[in-house]
Amino acid sequence: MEGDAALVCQLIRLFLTSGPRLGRSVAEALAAGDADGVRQAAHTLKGSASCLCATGVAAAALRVEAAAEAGDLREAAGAHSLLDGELQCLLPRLRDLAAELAGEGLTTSPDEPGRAS
Amino acid sequence: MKILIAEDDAVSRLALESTLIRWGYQVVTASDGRAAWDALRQEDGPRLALLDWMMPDLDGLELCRRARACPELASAYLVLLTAKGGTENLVAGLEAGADDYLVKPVDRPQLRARLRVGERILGLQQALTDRVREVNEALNSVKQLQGLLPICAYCKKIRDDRNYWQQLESYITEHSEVRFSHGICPDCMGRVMQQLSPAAQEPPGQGEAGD
Repeated sequence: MEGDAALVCQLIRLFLTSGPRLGRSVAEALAAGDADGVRQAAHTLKGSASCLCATGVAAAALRVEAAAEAGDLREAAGAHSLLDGELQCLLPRLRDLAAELAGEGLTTSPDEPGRAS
Repeated sequence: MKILIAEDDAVSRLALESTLIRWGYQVVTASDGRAAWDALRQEDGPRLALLDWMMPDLDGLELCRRARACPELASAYLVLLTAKGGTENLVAGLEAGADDYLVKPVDRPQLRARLRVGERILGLQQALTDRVREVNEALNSVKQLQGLLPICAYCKKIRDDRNYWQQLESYITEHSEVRFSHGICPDCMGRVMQQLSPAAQEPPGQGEAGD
């Protein structure tokens, strides 16, 4: 990202929209027993998280993807719980960072722990 | 130079796009394989492309196969981007028609260097294409007789490719840009004069009568 705050801010905002949506896609595909859908959504989420150096989310998404690719939806569901936890930690930190970069008044809600993956 | 980014992940796409714009490329983006295919098939579409392997509908591998089966895209420079490492995947990517293969997360200096390789290859291909066209144009405008011509030792007719004996004049006219200006040489003039007037003793001078 080479120190370009505007771009980082833009990437974070994009992730704040696409990250939760992809997390939901993983959950929905798991509920539907759609291994390919789980694999695809987890793969995309892994790529997004990697761009932001969110290694915790990326690693958890990789576990979900690998399990789904192997057709093991039980393992994928277990890994998804971890992924969901990582996402819940990451998102508030990203909101704070985006607000800081943009000089806006966005704040993290008090019930959200602030920890980047 | 125009470059296509085919990547279904919006964050990765934006990160790549901003990087390539900074490097001076004219970026075209596609969020899925079908949009990428449409962009590549545009008449003035990009000839340099970064294709994500895993995309919905039409993945990067299939895009490479399609491009190589399409004469207009046979020379496009295609780089597969993928999280799939390992020799087996690399070979599969290259055999599908990719020119290069980069494993994510993409190392930027390496990406830049590989794109320059792509530009150089495309430049060489374009130069070669231009040269072949120039040569073809030159060949079309120049008709030059060459090789061995079978000629009758007596009447001087030429035997053509269809095994017909043609008058020398008509053969040369047909196979070259030469056109004839008719006249009569002094020797022939002498013979003609003798035939017309047996009393004539002297051949004419060196003058030539044109038609």
